[in-house]
Amino acid sequence: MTPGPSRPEKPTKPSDVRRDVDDELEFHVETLADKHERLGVPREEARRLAATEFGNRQDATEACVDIDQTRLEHERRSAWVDHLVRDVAYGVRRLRQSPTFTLITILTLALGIGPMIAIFSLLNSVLLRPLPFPDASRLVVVRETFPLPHGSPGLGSVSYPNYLDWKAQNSTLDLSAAGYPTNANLQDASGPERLAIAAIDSSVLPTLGIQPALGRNFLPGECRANGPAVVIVSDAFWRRRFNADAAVLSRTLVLDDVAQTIVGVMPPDVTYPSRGAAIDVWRPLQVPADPSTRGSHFLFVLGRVKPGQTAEHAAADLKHIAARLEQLYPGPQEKRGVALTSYAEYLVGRTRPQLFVLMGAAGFVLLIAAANAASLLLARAGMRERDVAVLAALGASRARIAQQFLVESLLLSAAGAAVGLILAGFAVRGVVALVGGTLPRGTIIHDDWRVIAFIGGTIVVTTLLFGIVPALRAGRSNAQQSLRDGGRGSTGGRERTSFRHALVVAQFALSLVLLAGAGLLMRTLVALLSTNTGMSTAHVLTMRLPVPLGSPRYPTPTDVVARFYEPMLAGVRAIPGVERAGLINLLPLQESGSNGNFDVVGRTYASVAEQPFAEFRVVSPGYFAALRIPVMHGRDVAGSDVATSQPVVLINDVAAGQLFPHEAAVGRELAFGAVGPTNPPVTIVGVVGSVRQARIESAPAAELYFPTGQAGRVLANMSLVVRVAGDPIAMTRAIETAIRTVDRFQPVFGVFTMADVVDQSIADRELYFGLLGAFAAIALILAMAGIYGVIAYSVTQRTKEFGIRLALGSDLGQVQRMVVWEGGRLALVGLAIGVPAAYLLSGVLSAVLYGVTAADPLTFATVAGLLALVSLVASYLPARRVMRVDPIVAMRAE
Amino acid sequence: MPPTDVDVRQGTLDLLVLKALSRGSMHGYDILEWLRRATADQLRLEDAALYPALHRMEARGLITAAWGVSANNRRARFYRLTPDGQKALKEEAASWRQYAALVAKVLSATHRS
Repeated sequence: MTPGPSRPEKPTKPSDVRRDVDDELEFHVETLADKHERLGVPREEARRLAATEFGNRQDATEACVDIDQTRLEHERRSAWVDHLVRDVAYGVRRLRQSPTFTLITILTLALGIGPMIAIFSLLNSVLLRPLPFPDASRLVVVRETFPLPHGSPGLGSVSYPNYLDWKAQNSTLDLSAAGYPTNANLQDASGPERLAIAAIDSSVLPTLGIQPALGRNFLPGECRANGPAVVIVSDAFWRRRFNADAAVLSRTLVLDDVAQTIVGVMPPDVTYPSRGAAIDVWRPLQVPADPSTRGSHFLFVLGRVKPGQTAEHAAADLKHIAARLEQLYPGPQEKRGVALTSYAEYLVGRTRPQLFVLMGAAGFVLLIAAANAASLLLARAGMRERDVAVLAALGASRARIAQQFLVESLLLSAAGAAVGLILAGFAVRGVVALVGGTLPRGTIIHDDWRVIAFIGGTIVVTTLLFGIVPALRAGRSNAQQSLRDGGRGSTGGRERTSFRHALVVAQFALSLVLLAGAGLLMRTLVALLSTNTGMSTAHVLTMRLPVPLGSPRYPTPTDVVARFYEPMLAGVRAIPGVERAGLINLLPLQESGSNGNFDVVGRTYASVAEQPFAEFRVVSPGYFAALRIPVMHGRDVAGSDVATSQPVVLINDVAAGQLFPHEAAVGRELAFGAVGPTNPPVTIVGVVGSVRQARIESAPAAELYFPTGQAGRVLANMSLVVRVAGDPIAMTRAIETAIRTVDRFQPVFGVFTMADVVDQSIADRELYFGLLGAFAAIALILAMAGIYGVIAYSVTQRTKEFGIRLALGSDLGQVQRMVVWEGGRLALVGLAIGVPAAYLLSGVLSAVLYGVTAADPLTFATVAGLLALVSLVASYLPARRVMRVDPIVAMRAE
Repeated sequence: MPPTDVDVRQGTLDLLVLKALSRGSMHGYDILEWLRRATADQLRLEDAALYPALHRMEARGLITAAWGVSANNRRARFYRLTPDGQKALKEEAASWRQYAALVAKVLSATHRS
């Protein structure tokens, strides 16, 4: 070997550095020793002389090792960055060379990543983002429990005397009370507007742990009956109506005819006590502390567990107080207790499982998309084998080649995520605009660092999902063989094909699960929509008419009926095209109810729990006719049922069946509380058909209908129900005009057709079905594209084989059937795995299904059949290409 | 002036090494031998001190190193100039010549009043 340097060797470990330096210096010392030895010095002596002559070897070694280690560290770092920069540049160049592949892969990944981002964005805002209150985990909702005829006790609102007793007697909680959100009419220069308003006492803001952004909280002295007319406005309302003017304090708003002084502005995003819908204005809770109202439950009570206490202590504390109240007030408090729920759980508890199911479904879509991307990448890897072989021959390590492939995959998933983010943005905005109010906290969607971190994580996971197998395969491929056979027909190709087949199988299994879920929800919606609700909803318009009952305009219920409702109804009925019109305080299919216990006169009850229980409604003449609810016995309510006439009530046929199974109901009397001169019994004058009150899927309960002429406070919030001959929406303007003719300050809001009201009652299921259905559709398209790609690739690869078969006399149909069967077989295996998987997983939906079981064989068979059909079509399209194969050309093909 | 031994000043050693390597690839022992011959053995430098200088110059990218086989058939580390090293040699040499000429001029100047 000639003297001189050979191939550079780079030490990579610290121990190598020290050994190298030592070797280098040892060479010098040895060479010096050689020189002395040549002059006749014995070897041992020569070594000693050389060592002395060389000088301080220890210091020199340490200095060199130090310098080298620093240098290597630096080189390693810059080499890594260098490689990455080079791989990114190379990846971008390669991707631009095959724009079709790149575009299809990016779109595939966008369809996979987009749903994931959209659902996470919703899930983050609804579930993960902390409530906008400090130490929110200490907040608890305190509700009264009451006995229900069957099953576990109900959870209900709190009466004011009970709230005051709890607040004064407990030592574990700071309590606050609020009224449920209602509406108020704002009158100003720009016309009447309906505002969402809630009453809160002065403890609410301290309990939440917040302060007004501007101005002050309500004072305790303002939260009493006949207190001053002051309000706090929301941040959004302040910006919308007052352009965020700080001089808003002490200005006035005219709400329900009364001027209210603005004393504060709430911080942004506060919707308390509403779950999700915005509140515009808060007013002080001004309720008389009247001990006789202990049985009147209408407050929402929120507590903050005191420092050093736990929710368990607080629950025990309140239960103790409730037990004492039950003894003290056996009438109104009989069998009533108290229950605590964490505020966060109260807000989102029902939504959490649905969002998790959707997240899982989006994950399936991502898996299916990643399978397609991996399949595309593998097909391309076949064409790139020569490139890889050249790289390997040039000395690139397997790890470097794999890294290069992974960087390319990373670029694809980052681009896919970017496109997916745009899709997700549209989807989320759409969902919020359509049904934001049905999601708790759903009207305030904020994308924060969690969403950004999630997108980053999704990109990495996606890259690994679809990129790792192609990358490892590229790193492993046999360079020499690929160069020799030009990248065709190598064993790697066959392995790749079987892996792609496995991907198709997985895609079909996952798609089946999603389609089965969507199918079950679709059958649920069909069942809901075809359920007989007990009324006819076509051609019916509804609207809400909150009137300022108690204001100078309408001081008493009698005034509002005589001066507003009766002339208004007469005016509406006079409009050409209007057939019937009536009023009810709560439209059917509303989750909220109004109900209570009562007695049948002449019967005795051992306890409250044995008393009959029913929904209470107030209706005007014309209501039943407008919804075509039949009056089965007796008569309808009439204009002659007034405060001074005999008190009357109608009952529905469910109530009639429960109360009077073997006798006539009409003519019997009901009592509400102790009967006396001021509380006479009420006579049943009619029986009407039953309607679905709360939800379509809940069978009708017993229901009592009182006439408007004999009703009280509820007359402040009635809904108008109008049956028309033609299109209900087209009548809106004429009806509003008729209303304003009677009272020009009367706002009208919540204008919906009765069909819309039905739709709203199933909006949560529609959202669920809409999202799951969209995911299933994406899955179906992706699975179709996946099987098409694999079969098309296989047809291209097997052109020669087909040529031989055709030349040997196989007929075209036979060959095509073979190709179609290749795809069909994969789909069948996928379905065989997917059906049991769907059977196991669809159980998570059972809580929202109606009219169909989670294991519905018809749904499963239908979606399996659909997928089988799709697989045959997707395989047949490439199979048709076999027709164009010319046996001679095909056999020459390499 | 009789020849005396000269200490290698800090910073000067780099220039001498660059000059030595401008002839081609050499290991540390050869570099020292060449420097001693070139200075008629008047250079006073401890052998061990050469190596940290070589490694520092390698880290600065002026020279590169590779393992090879020496004339006495031992494994030795050979150094070679990089393009940066060649440039540095040219610049440093020019600046030294200029500096030396300047100092020489000052020292040979006669005092006039």
